[in-house]
Amino acid sequence: MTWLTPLTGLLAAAAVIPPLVALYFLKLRRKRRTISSTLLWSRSVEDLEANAPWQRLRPNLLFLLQLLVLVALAVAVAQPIAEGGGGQGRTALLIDRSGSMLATDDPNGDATRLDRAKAAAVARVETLLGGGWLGGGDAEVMVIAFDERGEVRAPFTSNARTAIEAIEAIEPSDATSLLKPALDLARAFATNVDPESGPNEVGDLSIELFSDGRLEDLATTVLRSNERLRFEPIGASDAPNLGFEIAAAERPADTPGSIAVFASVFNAGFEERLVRVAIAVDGVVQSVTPEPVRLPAARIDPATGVMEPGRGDVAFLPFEQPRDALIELSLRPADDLPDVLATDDRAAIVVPPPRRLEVLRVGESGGVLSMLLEGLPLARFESMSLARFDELASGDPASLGGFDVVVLDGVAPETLPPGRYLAFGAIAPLEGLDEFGTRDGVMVRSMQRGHEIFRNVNLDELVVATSRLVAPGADVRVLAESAGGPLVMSVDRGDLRLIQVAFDPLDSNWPLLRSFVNFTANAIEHLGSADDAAALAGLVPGDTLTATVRAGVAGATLATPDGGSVALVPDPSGVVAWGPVRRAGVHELVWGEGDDARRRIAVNRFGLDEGRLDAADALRLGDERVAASRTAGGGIDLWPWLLGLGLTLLFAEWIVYQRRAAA
Amino acid sequence: MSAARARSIDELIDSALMSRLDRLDVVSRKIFAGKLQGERRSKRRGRSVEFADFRPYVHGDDLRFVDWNIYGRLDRLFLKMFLEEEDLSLLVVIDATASMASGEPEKFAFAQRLAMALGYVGLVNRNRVTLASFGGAGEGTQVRGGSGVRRLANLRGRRRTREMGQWLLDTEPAGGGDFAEAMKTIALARQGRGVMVLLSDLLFREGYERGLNYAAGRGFDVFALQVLSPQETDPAAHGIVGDLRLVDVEDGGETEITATPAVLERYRSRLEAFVSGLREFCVRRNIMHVPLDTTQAVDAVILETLRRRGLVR
Repeated sequence: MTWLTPLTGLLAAAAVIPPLVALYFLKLRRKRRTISSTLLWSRSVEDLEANAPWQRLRPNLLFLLQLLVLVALAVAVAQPIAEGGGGQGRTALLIDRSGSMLATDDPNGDATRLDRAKAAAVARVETLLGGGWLGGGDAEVMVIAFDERGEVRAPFTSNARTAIEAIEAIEPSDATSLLKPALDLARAFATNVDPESGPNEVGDLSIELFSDGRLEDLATTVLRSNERLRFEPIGASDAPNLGFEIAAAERPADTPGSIAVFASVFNAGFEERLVRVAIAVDGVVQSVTPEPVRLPAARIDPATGVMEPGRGDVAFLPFEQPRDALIELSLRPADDLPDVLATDDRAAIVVPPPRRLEVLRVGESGGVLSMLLEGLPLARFESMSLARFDELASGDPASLGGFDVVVLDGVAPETLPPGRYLAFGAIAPLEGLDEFGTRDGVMVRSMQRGHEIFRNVNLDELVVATSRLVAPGADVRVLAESAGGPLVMSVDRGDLRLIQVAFDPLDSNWPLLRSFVNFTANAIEHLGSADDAAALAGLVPGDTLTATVRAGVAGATLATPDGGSVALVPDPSGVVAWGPVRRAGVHELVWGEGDDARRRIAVNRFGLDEGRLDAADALRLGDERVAASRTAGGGIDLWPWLLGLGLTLLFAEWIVYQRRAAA
Repeated sequence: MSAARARSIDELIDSALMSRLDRLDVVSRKIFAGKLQGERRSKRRGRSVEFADFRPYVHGDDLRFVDWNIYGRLDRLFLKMFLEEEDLSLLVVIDATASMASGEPEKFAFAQRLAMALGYVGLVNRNRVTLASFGGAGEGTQVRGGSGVRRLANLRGRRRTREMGQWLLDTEPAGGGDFAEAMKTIALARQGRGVMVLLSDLLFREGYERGLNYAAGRGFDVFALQVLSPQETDPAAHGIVGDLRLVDVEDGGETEITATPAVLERYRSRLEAFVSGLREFCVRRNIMHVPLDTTQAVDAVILETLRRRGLVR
């Protein structure tokens, strides 16, 4: 038996039953009887009243019936739900298939949490749609599988076979889990849209959640008044897990032919652990940490419930790798304790080959910027006039020479072909960068100090004599601004990236400051190696995979880590997109013959989002707490039955009253 | 036994009962002086033929009773004293307050028949029979202090039976009444002394003590016949169940009860205490208390109960 609003029921009972008892005493209907003398009676009653004020409360059929009516109504207000028997109404089954549901902490076998959730959901479908002595109603179930997105596997149906097949076809994902998208999906399907009156909620919606309860958005998710959530927890409360919190690789600036790798590992269990980390390059194990890394036990903050895992760091010395490489890290427990989730025990990093950038400067000859660029360690540097650039850009963009970065030195071309641009002074001709005047004497008020282009850059001493005023569009990110508006902005539109400085450095004291050199070098590095950075960072499950293949390629094939293969069609500019990516591991995109026609993309499941595996015993949605319910039966609303019972008792009470009155 | 009120004299007393009562006579535990020389030997010395004693002459004595022979021998005046034979005065007082009109069988109907039977015994034995009622309605009602006393005085001889019966039939129980005041009126109005038979439930809110004191204080040989109905002696078996508002028939006072076993038990103990208190009161004043139940047969009451108690023989 589950009570949806027990407190309300108790309050209702407390509000109506004592007054009934009081009224029974105050308004007791007594039959008049004339007797010879009340002399002895009055004395008898006085004696008893003095000693026992409740003596008058004796069995009374009318009183008993009235009491039962009120009790039935109060219990109905508490909304009991009987478990067992068939269901009624609409029920949405939400099955968590996120990364943590791949944990194998089944005490009775090797089944994953997802397998157990699916089995529990199938049992519920059989109960809800299977009938029973109270069954045979109008029950319908809907199946939604969710991670950070919801996916309807079966819309509302009363066919048990359809629902069960949909559940059994759910595949795992390594993405994080969010409840709200799945809830929104269920709500959308439970809502009828009337063209005249708009959306119309269809009665109550029962939601049954099969999950380990580690959902990221519980605090910001609330149930609506017509929704009822039942939470069936899957998994153990003490499942031990080790994993990578982060893994990174980079080529040192002074030795670009080598690669340095470091990683941070965590322990989400409640016992201290020892682990070893192995590194493999292109499938060949290169090294294993000689000593096990000691990871303290995780702690849970009793006030917030947030887990603080035990952490340890691992660094591998730089090793020679002059060409691109696939670095794979794996984590191995060095003690006898288990690790129930394998997904986060591996990390992959795709390291591009080392290369120097090619830069084109567009503008008048000479100038401080030209001198600065000539001093940078570039593979190629050329200058070009604005007229020549416009001429080439209006024709075949490939004729521009394939420079990694184009620096616009105080000039604004007529058009900007796809590419990476660093613009000083004149505002580039892009939608979203609307110039509307100038302002004199401005200083930097704020800047995104954490951004890569501001590494070792301090703009506190920068004074700009005249700056252009720009109204930034929605996709324009302001990196530094003055009181008059943006000073440094970035635009990222896939094949076109731009960093725009809204003033001419010669109209400021910037060329005299060291920050000017650092900013320019950082910006060119940032723009020129954006693809390499993306490759190094990799993707996380749930992201959309996008990659640029050669223009004109008709088709590409994506090999997924689980051995699958997906055929993709690039758009005319050579961009392919696929997603969301569900599984962690190395994906390989192939669009032709040879190494130049393939690209590897690493997808990693890092951190505690799905690494914390102790199953929750209750959910807290906003201010509402939903306790775990492990019962297997279907919920039946009992309040209509109780209401009917109350009315029947009321009718019986009326009959008894009439008979007594007639007597 | 008939539960209903009698509508004729024949219903009050039938010939069979009359023939059985003919053999009885009312007796007193005392011997009283009457106005007429009767059939009884009185303790009072006086004018009978049976010598009793002498006493010294005092001034004012009737010289006709001086024993001159003693005067001749002793030279002192002595009066001769004789046992005087006197008649018996029977006073039957019937409670005609409204409370007597209740009960099944009705208390007043029972008292009516009992009064008729006792009066008949008195008449056939040539006793001086007086009937009085209080609290009721009927011809000849004296209203004094709210007591509502009616009286039929000084009947003697069997031929007055019909007159007595009619008077009883004319008496209707009604209203309340002050028992003490009524008894005071009846006792003071009675000349001479005799046997007083009081037929009442004695359930007076103001108490029975003063009224009985008036009766006993005037020298009557008092028999208090307390008439109670089954509804009063065993209410649970006679309709007192559930939640009731009991209304007093005389003063209209209301008492709310829920007839639980505890309440009924409390009532029974209260009734027993009341009856035993009344009995004790009567014993102290030489009053014969006789509790009667209206379910009893009148002839059985007369021939057995009252004979045992010494009212008739």
